[in-house]
Parts: sequence; structure tokens; C-alpha cells
Amino acid sequence: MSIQERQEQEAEAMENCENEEIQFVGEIQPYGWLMGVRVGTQVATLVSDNVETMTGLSVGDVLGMPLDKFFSSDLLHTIRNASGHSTITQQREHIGTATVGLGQFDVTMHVADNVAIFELIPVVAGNDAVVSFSKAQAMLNRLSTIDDLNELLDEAVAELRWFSGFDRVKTYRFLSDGSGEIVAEAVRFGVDSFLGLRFPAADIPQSARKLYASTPIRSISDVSGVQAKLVSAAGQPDVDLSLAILRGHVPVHSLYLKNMGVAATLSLPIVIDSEMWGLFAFHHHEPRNLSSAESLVSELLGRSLSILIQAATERRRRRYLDQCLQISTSLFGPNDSPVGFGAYWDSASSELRELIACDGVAFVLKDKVMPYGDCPTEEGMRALVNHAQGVGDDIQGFECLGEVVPSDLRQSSAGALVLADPVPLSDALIFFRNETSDDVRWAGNPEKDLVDDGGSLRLNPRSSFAEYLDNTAGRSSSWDGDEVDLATSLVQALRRSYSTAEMQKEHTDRMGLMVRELNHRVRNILAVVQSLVSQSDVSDEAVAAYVDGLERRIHALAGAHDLLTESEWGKVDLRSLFEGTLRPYSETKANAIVLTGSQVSVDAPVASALTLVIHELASNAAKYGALSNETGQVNLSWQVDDTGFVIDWKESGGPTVIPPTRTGFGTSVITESLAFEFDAEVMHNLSPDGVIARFVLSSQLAIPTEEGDDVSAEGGPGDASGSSDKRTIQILVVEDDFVVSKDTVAKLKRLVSAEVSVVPSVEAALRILDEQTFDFAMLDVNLRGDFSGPVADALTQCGTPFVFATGYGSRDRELVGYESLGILTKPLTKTRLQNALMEAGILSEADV
Amino acid sequence: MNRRILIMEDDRDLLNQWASSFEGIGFEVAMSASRTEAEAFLNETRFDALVTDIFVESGGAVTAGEGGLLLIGHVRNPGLGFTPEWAKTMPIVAVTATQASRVTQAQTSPTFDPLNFASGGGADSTMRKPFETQELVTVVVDLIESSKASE
Repeated sequence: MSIQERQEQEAEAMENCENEEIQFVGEIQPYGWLMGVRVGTQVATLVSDNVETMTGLSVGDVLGMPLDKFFSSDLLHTIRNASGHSTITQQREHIGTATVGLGQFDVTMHVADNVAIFELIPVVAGNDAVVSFSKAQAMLNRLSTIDDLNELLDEAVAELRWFSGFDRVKTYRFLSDGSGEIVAEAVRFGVDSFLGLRFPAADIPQSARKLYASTPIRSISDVSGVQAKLVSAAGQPDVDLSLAILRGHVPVHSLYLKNMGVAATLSLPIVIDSEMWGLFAFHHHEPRNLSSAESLVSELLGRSLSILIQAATERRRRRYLDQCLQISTSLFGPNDSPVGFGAYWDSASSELRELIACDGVAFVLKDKVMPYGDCPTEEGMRALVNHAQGVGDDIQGFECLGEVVPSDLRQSSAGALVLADPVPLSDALIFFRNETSDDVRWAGNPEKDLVDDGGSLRLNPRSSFAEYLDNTAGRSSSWDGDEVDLATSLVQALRRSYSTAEMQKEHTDRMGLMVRELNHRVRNILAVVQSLVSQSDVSDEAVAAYVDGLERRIHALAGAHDLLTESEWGKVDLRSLFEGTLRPYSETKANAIVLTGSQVSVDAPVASALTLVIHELASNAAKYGALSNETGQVNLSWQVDDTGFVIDWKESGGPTVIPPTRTGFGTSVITESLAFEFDAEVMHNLSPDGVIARFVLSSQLAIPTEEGDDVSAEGGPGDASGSSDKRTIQILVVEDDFVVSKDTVAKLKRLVSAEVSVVPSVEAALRILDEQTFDFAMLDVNLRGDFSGPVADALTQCGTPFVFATGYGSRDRELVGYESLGILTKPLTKTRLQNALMEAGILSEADV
Repeated sequence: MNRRILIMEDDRDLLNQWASSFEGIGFEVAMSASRTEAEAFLNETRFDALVTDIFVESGGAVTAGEGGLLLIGHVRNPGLGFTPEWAKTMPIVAVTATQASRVTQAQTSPTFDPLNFASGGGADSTMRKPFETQELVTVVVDLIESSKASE
């Protein structure tokens, strides 16, 4: 027979087994008798055929007999009340004792498919109910003090054996693949132990599992006993015995138990959140009847223990969650984008490997895979993830990866625990295990024994339960329940950390937006201030000089502000800072300024102060020093050495320096501000050959720049050429700030003889462009919240050169793609405006 | 104002089912498991109707002695001083799980049907268990409406 045929036959046998309706067995265990009454009638419609041995009444006597012949009016009263109870179809109720014929019986009742089923079990002499209850009470008291789950299970089986007197009590826990493992056991001296053994999933077929989940107790008092048949007037009745304590067993089950050497069993399912977590299985090697009291108390114990176990697993889950949260928090860095955790993977992966024992762990993202340790190839992992996503469970354990992943993609991995879709944009977090050297200890050879049962295949129970070591070639050790619980906690923790990280990112983004907005406003305010200053009456020469100086200082500050905005108020490259500050001078004096120094950055406060100082030095040089003639030169150099962070300003080749008669504001900025703010040593020497200044700051203020790229210092002017037209030039200014627009118009008119139209909005701009053509336009980027893009488009269409004017510095990404001549940052200076006009061909060099 | 009903029934499961059905249609429900408790409620506040079981557990045995029959007697005869005057006309439904015929126990005579006693004692309606809760609700609501109409 081929392997495939064999597998098909096994599958068929399994299906036959799964589909068997064991609750319609039609037989009961003979230590009690059963009677059924169709609801609405008051007469017995079915009875078990052992009624005669139990009561002396024949089957014929009983069928059709009115209920009040069996039961007292008190009992009938209780039965009528019980019939109306909300749980009567879900559990048996003890309704009292009755004398029927020769016997005295404890009577329990439940309703199934509209049949009231009475089970009558002979009353045991003595007061066993009180004994059972007091034992149970003492036992629950002891167990409820235990915190740890494993300890609880160990103690519970010991207590249950003491309570029941069975030879063996074991806790059977279901594993992720449906098989079961004996995780706790108590046995009478000399009885074989099953502790640690695995039972294949087929040992408890689905039909039996379903029954267990809805039946709080199941007992078989004598595996070999001849069972009593149910009979009714119409022959063999078809009655659902799911809840009946006397329910008979099917031959295959009794054979299974006999092979195990068991004569009597009791099972109490452990149900957590309506799911079968496991069960307590009691074995006895001789027949063992349960009295009514014992079975009722056992039922109560099963439910109470389920609650204790649930509480212990919850406590454990909480502990796991704390542990997992720590790891997952480290996986998602606080300022990182939720998917950009690559940087944290190295440290987190080793922690993950400690959390769940494994040989490798991998994070499978949509676009890449991050493996650590022994993992399959990426293709292999994707195949596994596809398979797991097809199954759909969040957590899936594989002990034989070869069944899912082709061997050439598996590498050394043999087992995997897949946590599917843990967080958005990721497919899975997977733990891998290599082949195990420990064999799986099965309770007997799990290979299925098939028998032909009248044309249909069924499974035959194995004949031996002696420990069977499975050849584990190609298999990993199994993922146990604790590890699955840990994985569940880990997924929860990952989701929680992810959403926290995402929230933080959102927060950071919003902060960034606010900072940009603030920078924009600061810029605009500087522009307004500068405009106000430049519109002052400048007829007096002294005032004019003052205004000019002030305007330049503001502009220098705005330049530093730009750089700082660009670096998000972090550190600023010193060379860029100086270049920016000196640009107004270097633009006209091409080679007069030389910057020399290593790549060094400074932070925001130092940058602002240095900007002002260098600006003052440069502005003095332009007025009286090396930048005031054609031969002068300025050397600005810096270095970090043992003395500290040294900045040198050295002028040469200028006119002879004449020290001023009074100390102005500019001088005090140079000599005092750095000394005052940063404890710098300042030397400012107005020597006749040229001004020399030296500033020695703490070397800690110089932050080394990462990319060591030697830059030679050169500032050159923007070259521009063009020819001007002699007709009246038309210029359009689109600007919503009145003060700024006035200033712009004044500046334009000083530079060029032109007619300047000002409009404040996108709408107005588009309207005027419809009516008129312009030679040049200046666009404010942000017009009362509207982006001036549409105006730029219109200008491009009619071929009008234009520039953007913005308060944002040069960071406006939205400006990319427009055919502007450039971006002028506010506040506008004469030089910049001039350059722009030259580029537009409105001014030529000759005009300047 | 909400309608108020008093139920005396010693079977916890049935009591809960009935109470939640009445609450479901806006009744305030007072639940009692004995005659004395029920009478205490009646002395405390007014009710629109009373539903009472006849046999209740008392001192470990189910008897009629301390049950619904005595309660009905007290309610309909305020002169005895157990319950207030207003309750004399309150609609009463008596329920029981005891069968009318085939009585075999000494506590009842061959012709004894407790529901006949209940009617004779002043119950407006009687019902035999088991019944659907909805039947009880319908009977009670009808009784309250017709008693309001006759006022």
C-alpha cells in the first residue's frame, strides 16, 4: 500500500471516528436505571432494561405507567418546579430520593430533546454526602492558597486522589496541535506513571471533546460491565444521553481503556472561557461506582478547580505580559517610526530568544525579513507565513516544519512558533527551533491501527501504552502551553507598544509642524520689523546709518534663525553659519573673505551669539576696514586645540585703522556678548594694519561634525547677466502683509523704474493676470493660508519670470517643481532683490 | 409611575425568571420567599399585584401551612391586622406545582385541590406549574388592567 493510500485510509477512519454520535449510544451503565418521560405527558415512555433487577418491576410494567405511581407528591412538586428551571437542559438536578418497587434511589433529572430523563441510582447506606462535602471543602481551602499554576495542578491531582480513592489522577492538558500531555499526576504506590507522556489528538475525537465541553462530569464505573439497553414501546429509542451520568460507552472506548489496564474512570473537564483547557482524568484498576453524592460533589469540584486554574493562568498571563511589554517597548524605540525598528532588533532579538527558548527568531515584514540566529531562508519563511495565514490562528506551533516548508529552504530549522500579524506592516514574528535530540515520549506507539468494521474503516485503539520514543528526525521539541501563553502575551504587548510608538510619532510630527509654524511667524515678524525700520524717515544721514545697521543686524539674525530652523534647533555647522552671516559682504567682494577651519558644529545659543558678533565685525570692516577697499582681505579661522575652541578674525590690506572715538553698540557686542554668555576670552585689537579679534571658548562648545569632509573656504558672488527693456516695466507683487508689501514696493522702486501692482490674494492675482501681462512677479508663498501655487502656474503659462518670497527659510518642499527663478527669504534685502531682478533680465550689471 | 408587583416563591430559579420578565416590561419587582417577608413588603408600600406560590419550604418541609393560602387569607381580611386595608382589592394570582387529582399524601384529602382553596380564599386567578413565564405575565397584566378599569 502506498503512503498516500495509507494516509487516505487513516483520514477516512478518523472521519468515521469523529462523526460517531456517541451520545446516542442507546445503552447505560447498569449501576443505576433510567426512565424517560416525554414532556407534557405524565407517563414513562422509555426505560432501561435493568429496571427489573433494580426494582422488581418489569419493563412492561413501567412503560406507560403514570409518574405518580413512582414518585411521591412532594417529589412531583419538586419535578414540576425543576421542569421550569432555566438550566434544566444543561445540567442534571438532584430532586430527591424515591422508593420504587424493592429499591430506594437517589433521583436526578434533566431534559434532553423534550424528554425528561430520570436517573435512579441506589441509595448508599450511611451519611456519605456530608463526608464528601466536608472533604471537598477542606480540599478547596487548601488549593485556594496556591499561586503558581504548576504547583496548583500538582496539588490538585494529589487532593483529588485523596478525595476519590482512585488509583491514578492525572491532569491532561491540550496542546496547540490537539494532542495532550500529562502535566501532573498522582498515583497509588506501584501504579505506572504517565507523567510527561504525550497522547495523540485522535485519542479524544472531536465528538468526545464536544461532549466534554458541555458535560461537567463523565464516569465509567466498569469498563467490562454488560450495559443495560434502553427500550420504549416503539422499540429502541433514539435519545440524547449527553448529560446522563449513566450514559453507556462505545466499544472502541472501552477497548482503549482496557488496553491501558483501566477498569473505571472519572473525567472532570477543565473549561476556561468556554474552551476545553484540559481535563482531570481518574483511573481505577477495579470497577468503581460513584454514589450520587460523590458524583454531585465531583462535579462541583471540577467547576471550582476550573475557576482556580483560570485565576492562576490569568495571574501568570499578567506576569508574562509585563515581561513581554518590557521587550516590546525596547523593540519600538520612542522616537522611531513604528516600522523602523531595525536599530532595536539586535538587542530585542536576543531578549526574545531568552523569553522563549529557540535557536532563531525572525521578524517578517512586508518588505523585508530580519532574522536572528538559525532561521530558514527568506523564501522559506514567506512560505511558512503564507501557510499560517491560510490557517488563520494568531498563534500556531509547528513541530515538523518539513510538512510546510520545502527542505532546501528550511536550513537547520525543524519547528516554528508563528505569531501571525502581530502589528501593522508586519506579517509575523517567528521563533524557530532546530531538530531536537530528545525524543517525544508518547503513551504507546501513536501509529494508527485500522480495522475494517463491516465495510467502513475505523481506528483500533493501540494495545500498549508503554512509553514509546518517537524518532524525532526532522522534528523540533514541542511548543508547550506556557510558551503558547507567552506568545499570546507577546502579541498583546507588541500591539500595545506599537500603538504607543505610533502615538508618540504622531505627537512628534505635530510638534514639528508647530515648530515650523512658529519659525514662519518669527520670520515674518522679523520681516515686519525690518520693513518698519527701513520705512523710517532717512533724510538725516546719522539716522540713515543707524537704520542701515539695524536692518543688517536683523537680517543677520534672520539668517542664523534659518540655519537653526533647518537643523531643527539642533546643532549648526560653523562654516555654514559664517558663510550665511558674511554672504551680504562676500556677494560683492568675491575673494575678500577666506574661511578656514575644521568641520565643527555649535548649538543654537552659541550660533545666535556668534552670528551677531561676526556680523558686527564684518559690518565694521565694510565701513572702515578690510572690506571697504579693493585690496583688503579678511581671514576668519577656527580650531579646537588645548587652549580651547579658538575663533580668529584677521583683517589685512585695508586702510589704516583709526580707533573710534566712542564705543558703540557694535563694539560692545563684539567684546562683551560672548564673554558674558559663554565665559569666552575675548581679544579685540584695532591695530593700524587691520583689526584682529580672537575668541577663546570652552572646547566643549565645539561639537565635532560626523562626516569629516575638508571644505576649502570660498564665498563668491552670484554671477548674473541680462539686458533691460526700455519700456515701462510691469511688476506684480502678491503679498498679503500690508507692511511687508509696502516695503517691497519701496525697495523695488529704489532699484528699478517700474510700475508695481500689489494684490493680496490668489484670487486677485489670477484676476489681474487675466487682464494684464507682467515682466516680473514676486509671490508670497503663503497667502492667508492659501498656497500661491496656482498663481505660479498661471505665471509660468504666460512666461513671466517670478520668484517666491517666503518666511519659511528655504524649507518649503511644496515649492519644488515650480519654474521660479528662486526663493527669496524674508526679510528681503536690496542685494537679493537686485540679483533676482538681474536674473529676470530687468536689471543689467550696468544698471547697478 | 412604575407598576409594582410582589412575588412570593421559594424556588430561586423560577423567582429569578419571573422577576426578570416583569422587570423587562417595566415593573418594579419585590421578591420574597416566605409569607412573613411578603407581609412586611405589603406593610411597607403599595403593590399593583401579588403572585404567590402555595406550598413553600418552611422549617425543612414543604407545607401549605405557612404558604400562599394563609397569605391570601391575611390580605383579603385586613381586619386580622396582618396587612393594610388597600391590599384587600389587590389582584392576586396563586400558583402551585401540586396536582389536583391523584393525591396520595396524608396532608391532602382525596378531593383536595389547593387552587380551589386559593380561589375560595380570594385569589383572582390560579395557575398550575409548569407553565411558560409569558403566560403568567399576561394573566397579571390583564388582571391589573381590569381592576383599574373597575375602579
